[in-house]
Amino acid sequence: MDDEKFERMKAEYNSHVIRKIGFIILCIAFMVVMIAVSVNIGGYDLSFIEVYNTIINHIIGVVPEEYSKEWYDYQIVWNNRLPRILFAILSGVGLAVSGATMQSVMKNPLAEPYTTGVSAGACFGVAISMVIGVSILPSLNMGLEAFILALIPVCIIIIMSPKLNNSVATIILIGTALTYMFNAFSTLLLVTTDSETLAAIYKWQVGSFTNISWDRLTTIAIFVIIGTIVIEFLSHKLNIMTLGDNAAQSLGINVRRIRILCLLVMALMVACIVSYAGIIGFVGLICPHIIRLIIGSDNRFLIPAASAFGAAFLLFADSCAKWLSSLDMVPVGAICGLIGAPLFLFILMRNRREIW
Amino acid sequence: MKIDDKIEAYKKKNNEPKPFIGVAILATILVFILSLSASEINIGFFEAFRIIYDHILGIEPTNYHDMIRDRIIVEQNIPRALGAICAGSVLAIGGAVLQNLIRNPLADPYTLGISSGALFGMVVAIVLGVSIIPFLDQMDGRIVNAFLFALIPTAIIVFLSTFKKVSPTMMILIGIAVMYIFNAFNTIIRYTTDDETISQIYQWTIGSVSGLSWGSIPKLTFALIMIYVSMYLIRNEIDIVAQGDHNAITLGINPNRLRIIALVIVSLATAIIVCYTGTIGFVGLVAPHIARRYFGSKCRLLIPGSAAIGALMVLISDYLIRIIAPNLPVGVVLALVCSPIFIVILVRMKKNVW
Amino acid sequence: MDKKVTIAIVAIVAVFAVIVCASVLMQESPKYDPKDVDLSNLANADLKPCLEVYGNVNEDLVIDNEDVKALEAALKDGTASKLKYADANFDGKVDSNDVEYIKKIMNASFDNPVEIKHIQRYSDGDYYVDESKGRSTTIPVKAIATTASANMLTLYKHLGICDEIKAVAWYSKVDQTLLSEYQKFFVDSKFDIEGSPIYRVGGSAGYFSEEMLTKHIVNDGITTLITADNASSYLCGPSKSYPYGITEDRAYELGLDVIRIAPAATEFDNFLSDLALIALVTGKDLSTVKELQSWISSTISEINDKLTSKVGKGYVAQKSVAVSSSNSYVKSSDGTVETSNYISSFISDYTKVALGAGGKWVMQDYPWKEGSSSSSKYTDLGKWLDPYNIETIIAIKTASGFSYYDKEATLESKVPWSCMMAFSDSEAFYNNSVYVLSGDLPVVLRIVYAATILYPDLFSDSWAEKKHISYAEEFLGMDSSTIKNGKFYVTMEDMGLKN
Repeated sequence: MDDEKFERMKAEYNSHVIRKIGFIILCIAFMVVMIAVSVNIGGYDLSFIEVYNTIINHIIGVVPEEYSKEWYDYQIVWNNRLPRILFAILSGVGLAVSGATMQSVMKNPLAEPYTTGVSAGACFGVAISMVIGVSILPSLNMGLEAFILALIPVCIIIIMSPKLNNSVATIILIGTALTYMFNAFSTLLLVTTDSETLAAIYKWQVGSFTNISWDRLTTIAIFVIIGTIVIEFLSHKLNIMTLGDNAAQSLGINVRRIRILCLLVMALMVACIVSYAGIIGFVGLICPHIIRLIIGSDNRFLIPAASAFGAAFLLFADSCAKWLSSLDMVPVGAICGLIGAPLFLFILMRNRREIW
Repeated sequence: MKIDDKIEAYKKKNNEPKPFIGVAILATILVFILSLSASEINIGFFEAFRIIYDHILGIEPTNYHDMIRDRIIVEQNIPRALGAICAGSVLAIGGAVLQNLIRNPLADPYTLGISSGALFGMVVAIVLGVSIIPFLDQMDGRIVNAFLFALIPTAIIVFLSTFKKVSPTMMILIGIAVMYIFNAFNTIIRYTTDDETISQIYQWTIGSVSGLSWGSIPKLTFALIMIYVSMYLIRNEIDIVAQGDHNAITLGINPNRLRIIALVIVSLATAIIVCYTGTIGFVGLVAPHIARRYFGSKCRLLIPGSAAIGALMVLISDYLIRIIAPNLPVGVVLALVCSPIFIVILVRMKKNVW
Repeated sequence: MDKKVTIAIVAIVAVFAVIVCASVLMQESPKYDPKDVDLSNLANADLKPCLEVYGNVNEDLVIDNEDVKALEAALKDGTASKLKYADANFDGKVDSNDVEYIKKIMNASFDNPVEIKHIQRYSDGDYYVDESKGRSTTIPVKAIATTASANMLTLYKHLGICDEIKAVAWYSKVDQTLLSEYQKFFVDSKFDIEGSPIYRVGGSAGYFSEEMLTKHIVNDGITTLITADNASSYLCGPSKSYPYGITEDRAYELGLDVIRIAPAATEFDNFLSDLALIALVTGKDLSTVKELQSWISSTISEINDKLTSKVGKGYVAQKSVAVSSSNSYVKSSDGTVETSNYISSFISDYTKVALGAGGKWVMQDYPWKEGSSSSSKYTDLGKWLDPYNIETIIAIKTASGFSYYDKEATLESKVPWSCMMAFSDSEAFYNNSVYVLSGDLPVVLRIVYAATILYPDLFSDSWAEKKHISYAEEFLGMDSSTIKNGKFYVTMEDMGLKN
């Protein structure tokens, strides 16, 4: 091939890469702006300057007098708003990355992080906790019931996968069956209970970022960040796996092991998020599609783009929810759907490429 | 001649799995008869028939004891069983057809957004008291609302497909996007109501056949006949499209148009079912898979087979509920009982149907 | 076919067949036949309410000179350590400092606030007292945040507390006739009426949003949070791992004192002592509480005497009763029915109203969830209606969209109709004994009307009306014409449902 042609191809490829990186940077910039905006939104009246004073004072180390106005400002900004914002960001990263990976690993555009049954298991755990009143180590302030039970369906799938002819479709189907089964268990519990508990469980299920504290946040941060990094390292191999199992194996990739590893990492991330936030349903399925329509399916860029876009999107949705109702009457998942679905339809219609 | 032998062998193979369908249908009838007498109050098996006989003859019950039994058998059990058969069949047929046409094992009638549209209609009627057609009584308003809103996702898909060529996967994704929008509205409205309404709505989303009465049976039967006949008429075309769009085009079939037509019919039938029973969630997805395991993927057998299996699943679950734990909605037992069976079948599957 | 699949399917079919045979051959279970009269659940007329505050040495309803004298006498005798509430300053010792502290409590004012320690009672199905959590409250209190359920507001109305309430958590509006002065609470948090000082800080009765609450702490100087004593739904939610809204510990961290009371208790000792506690905390007059005690005591003993002398074998038969608080019914034109029914459990406050009026609760062997203070759902025809011989069903409903003080509105409203139709398959309905009782009444009046419903031969409607008027005039500040214009329980005949 001529050098000239080669140079042209290289330039074209570079422009594609620049476009993708540009998208990622745009998302991150948006996210930073949203952080600044979101800290100011909330039921408690604080002006712009007061918010930043509080933040800076705390960083410097000035401790306000207890029960003074500054002390309440500090309580709200540092114990309510900032953890919530960080939680929204981390959840966005976790859910979107899991969704993108799930779709690549399962080669099915309808796969999402909850297809393996994580959400149903978590719901069952919460139902047990609320209806029966059993709390595992409540002093640790971690939603352990939901977390442990969210992992059980995934474990079942991982244990059974060697017997399943390694067919991805059967994994999905078993995941769906497990989802139904655990939902049925939850329903069994919920039907016997009174309407107040039912309402409480429903409010958990719908998903919100309000019950968060710094120690919970640390746990989530560890899981999500490590998970994302692991998957990013595997993204090369995920690219090759899209060629098909046989082709990938002939190129030296242990398809089964990578699949299971991805499932495990995703499950840990998602279980952690779900056990605190509830089931937020849009980000894992549609956000990866939106990103794919914009920058294509290359996993090396898809994963970072998913994290950036997911974080920005979820933070934006949470800020809208906070702004609309200071009494937390509007759940995040609903806003996600309202904003994101039209966005998705719009991009879908304008798109010329066929991704799926 | 060799070709003749092959044709003979093919015909023979074609005719093989029929007995299984007969078994399934027979089992359905058997369970139907058994379920007539099942309820929380223990009515004897033969006494149930006596009560029906009395009712047909027009003998009125005189005291509370007899009246309640008469009411249970005639007004509740029979319509419930019939409704269970209709619901199970319609959902299973819809699931089978969609899975074949969209070539995705996760497709079922609810993936297109029908359930959340219907739920939205229900929620609007219950909480806001608004129904699209005015002057309707409370419950009527709910049913009609649910029906009309259930069709909106399908309408959007059809509408968008006139502008742009919509691949099967994209069809589902659009349905899912619309589902999310409706879910968002649902969530907001439900979140802001009181506990009682939340539990009312919750009951509906789980799906149960317990509210059915004689008045709704004609409509459910109509849905069943409509979907069965129309899908059976196009069974050969569905088989061809299931092999791939390009194959279908070379054989002279327009796959997109076929998908749209099938989608509309399935949506109509499912919407009718859903607005009476709520969302019974397992049948449409799993019954076709079980049927495929035993009857193969050809629509000629798959459609009746999945109808029979779907009806059987719902009927058995309803029957078990009535005997054991009358508080439960159907979807729960369906999932509990049929999930393990389904998983076992999947694991033991030798040939990969997908 | 695979052998194991065959075995699995055969096993399932076999289990199925066994279940079928068992159900076919099973006999009808015998009807529960309540033979013995059981009046042990009548409300206690011999009231000895005790203000559960440390410093209330003689265990009456006030902290006054009597307590000072009693403590001084006990210190001289050396019996001071036996007195439960003697340690007024909660330092672990009972000595003369406590006497000084009691005097300080008596003289507490806005310029001299005093911190008192009181017992905090929680209910989780049954009452338990968490003695380790001797909660402290600084009195007197200027600004309160509270739950605005009908029961709570009725309690406040007895004491005339209105302007002290600065922030409310509520879901549905209350009866406009009974609680007209509290209507100003129900303004939306975004659009406040000119001059209205009240903001909504929570979307439902047990949930307070931290940001909004903090805003009012700063703006209005709220120091106390008063809410109901359900440990499993207020200020936490049913699970400690998944709190819903602010928790009690967090409220303490924010500098609020939390007081938990039981405004709908049929144990009148608890009700009166809660009332006395609130009166002490807000600096209101305690004489209302004492008069209320004697009113309740005399009424309850009147009811109890009539019941114990007349209800029994040979006289008036004891009625078996079930109570429901949550029910609904819709029916479509083609016959599709959607009902939702909850029957309250034995330990629910609602059921105790009917039991206190002499009813008998027959569902002992029904598998209630342990510790449930609320109810269990039944749907579908025939659910435990047959084995449990329930003669009367009383549905206690708060008014929504109408007021029980307006007879016409009540009779025109669909709410009582749908409550009754929700039980349309029960024997009680067949015998025309389903009633709807107003849930906006104070608890003792609920018992009065329930007695009228259950035993119309012993308690007449005019007697109930007289009692209601006397209570309303004395304690609620309403006049007799308002009461006469109201309808506080609805019969099936009123709704045109009589068979």
